[in-house]
Amino acid sequence: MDPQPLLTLLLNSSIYIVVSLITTQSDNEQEQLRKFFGSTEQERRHAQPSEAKRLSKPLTIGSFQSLLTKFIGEDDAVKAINSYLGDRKIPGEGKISEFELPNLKRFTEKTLAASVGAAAASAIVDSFLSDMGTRMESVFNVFSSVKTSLDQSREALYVRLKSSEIINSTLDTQIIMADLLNLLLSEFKLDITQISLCDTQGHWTESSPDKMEVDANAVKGLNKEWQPYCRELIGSGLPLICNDTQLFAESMELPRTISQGILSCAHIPISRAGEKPVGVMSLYSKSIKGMFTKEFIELLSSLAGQLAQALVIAQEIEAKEQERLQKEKAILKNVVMQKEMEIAQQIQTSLLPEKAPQLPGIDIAGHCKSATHVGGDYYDFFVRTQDNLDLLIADVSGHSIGASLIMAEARTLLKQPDHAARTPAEILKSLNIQLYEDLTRTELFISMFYANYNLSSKMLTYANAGHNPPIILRKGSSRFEKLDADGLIIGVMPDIDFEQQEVELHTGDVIIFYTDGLTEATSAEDEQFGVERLCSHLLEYRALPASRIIDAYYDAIARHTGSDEQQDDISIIVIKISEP
Amino acid sequence: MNLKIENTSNAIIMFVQEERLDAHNSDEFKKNMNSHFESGQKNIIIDLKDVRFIDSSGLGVLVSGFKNASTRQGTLKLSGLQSQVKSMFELTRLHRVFEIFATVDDALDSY
Repeated sequence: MDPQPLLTLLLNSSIYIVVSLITTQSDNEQEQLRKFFGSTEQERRHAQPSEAKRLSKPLTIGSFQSLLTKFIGEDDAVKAINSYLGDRKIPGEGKISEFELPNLKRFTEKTLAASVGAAAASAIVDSFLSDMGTRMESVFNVFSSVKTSLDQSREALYVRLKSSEIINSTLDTQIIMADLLNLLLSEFKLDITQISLCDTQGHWTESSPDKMEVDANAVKGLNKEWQPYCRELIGSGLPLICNDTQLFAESMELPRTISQGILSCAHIPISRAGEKPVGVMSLYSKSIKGMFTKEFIELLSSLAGQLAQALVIAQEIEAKEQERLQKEKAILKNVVMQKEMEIAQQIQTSLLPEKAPQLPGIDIAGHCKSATHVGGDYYDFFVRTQDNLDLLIADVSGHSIGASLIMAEARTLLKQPDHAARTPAEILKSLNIQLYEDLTRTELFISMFYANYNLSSKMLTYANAGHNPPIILRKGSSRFEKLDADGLIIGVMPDIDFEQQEVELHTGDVIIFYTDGLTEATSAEDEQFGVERLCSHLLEYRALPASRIIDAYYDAIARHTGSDEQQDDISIIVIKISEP
Repeated sequence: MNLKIENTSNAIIMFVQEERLDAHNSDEFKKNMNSHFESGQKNIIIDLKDVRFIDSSGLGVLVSGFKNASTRQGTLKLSGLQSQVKSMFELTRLHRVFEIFATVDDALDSY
């Protein structure tokens, strides 16, 4: 038998039963009927195994009244018939005319419907009319016993409706559970009700109704006693029914249960069909033993199932909410990161010189093309005196605000006037000492090429901290030279020495300073631009003014990579020595 | 990132089984390396024989690993450098800072 809401079952089956009883009546089926309705002990005692055989009676008002009596009781039946009759007087034994019959039939159906529902009422009246006699009577006597269980099922229906209301009224599972427990307490006159939920780690949380008039400690005590059995319940998925605590106490440890006067109790697993229980609904009664009948347990299990559904849904909603929040967080993080990169770029741009110095005898140009959200290149010119120019090109290893700030710090240190007295090697040494701690802390390093050009002597003095050596193309020659000097990148050792070199420049010489973004620019075929290509292009561009040479390189790189988007910053300084 | 870790009596070997050590995976590499230092390892050998390309981020984490080892009185050695990686080390002069070996075994023998 399928455990379905009792009333629907009742309606459907009352029709079915009526029909089947009329067609194939047997005592066996009467027995089945009783079992089917799951009547309690009390009911079984009251329901007479109707052997009474009556003579067929003609259709009279009285017989209708008797019919009604069986379902709504004598007083109400009399009232109903009287209200139907109104002023008319038809004696109880009076036959009903064919004229009258349809009206009376309708009226009876209506009256009965209020008690058993329209479909059942109709079936009952139809069968009453179609078959009068012993069989019908015995059927109806059995049906009378249906009335008691109808009362029960009416109550069950009410509880089901109320619980559906409760469950659908809010997503707050705490409220649902409290209200549900209150409902059970009040409707079934229980003394203690509780819901215990068990999470995946095996931790229990308890919910109690707020209208319970029992000491919280007492309830705790009860819980402790029953908990081991409740744990088993989670595994088995079957309700634990104790209709006589004293009996159970003979084989189980239940001192508190007994001392608190609990007579019967039940623990119902809270689970959806076919799933593992997520908790237990516990009910205790101090008023009667045997409270937890089969139907009651079915009702409670069905409520527990509804609760399980509500809990699962609440869980799913919570999980979705968490997911949404995580997504939002990730998006936000991304936005913040983008913003940081923008700021880093802005800082970096602000460090670069606006324009190259104009000095006699030297054509200078410099440019940095930043890659989006990447920063790290720096170049600068310091005109120390009208005869002396310092220039440098550098690359910090990271791409972040931190890297830009380190670069800003470096620039501040380099701009100090006392550097005018120092040689490139001394400047790099000093810079390394001053930046070592910050670079270690931020886990960055800097490569830098620093040069000083004396316009009178045309001497270029330089030192190199692990940076790409600039390329010089001498006038009239196609041979390339690298301007290199030995020196470690800045930030690796606390204090190091840098080699210094010097070279004399002549009119017509061209020098290109660059960062690795240029040589490492990669084509679609995974080929780097490279130093060789850089040199061959210099041959091509040597006659152009310095700034045009730089433009030409950017074009060449764009053609090489096949896109406008850059993988890294590309910085270039070009100097050309000319007649002053 | 593909990293194979081998424990020997002298040092932990980290085989970098990636073609590139750059901005995309250098953070992850750093975290892994630091976790070994934190769990008490003092000597680490980093084998780069699969690494074709290294950029400044990659160099940066090797440098910070080197400094980390120094502060713990430990060592960080490198082995199996391919040509591009080697030239990066020479350009930055880091080849004089790190002990660089042709093979892992050579590195292990150095202890």
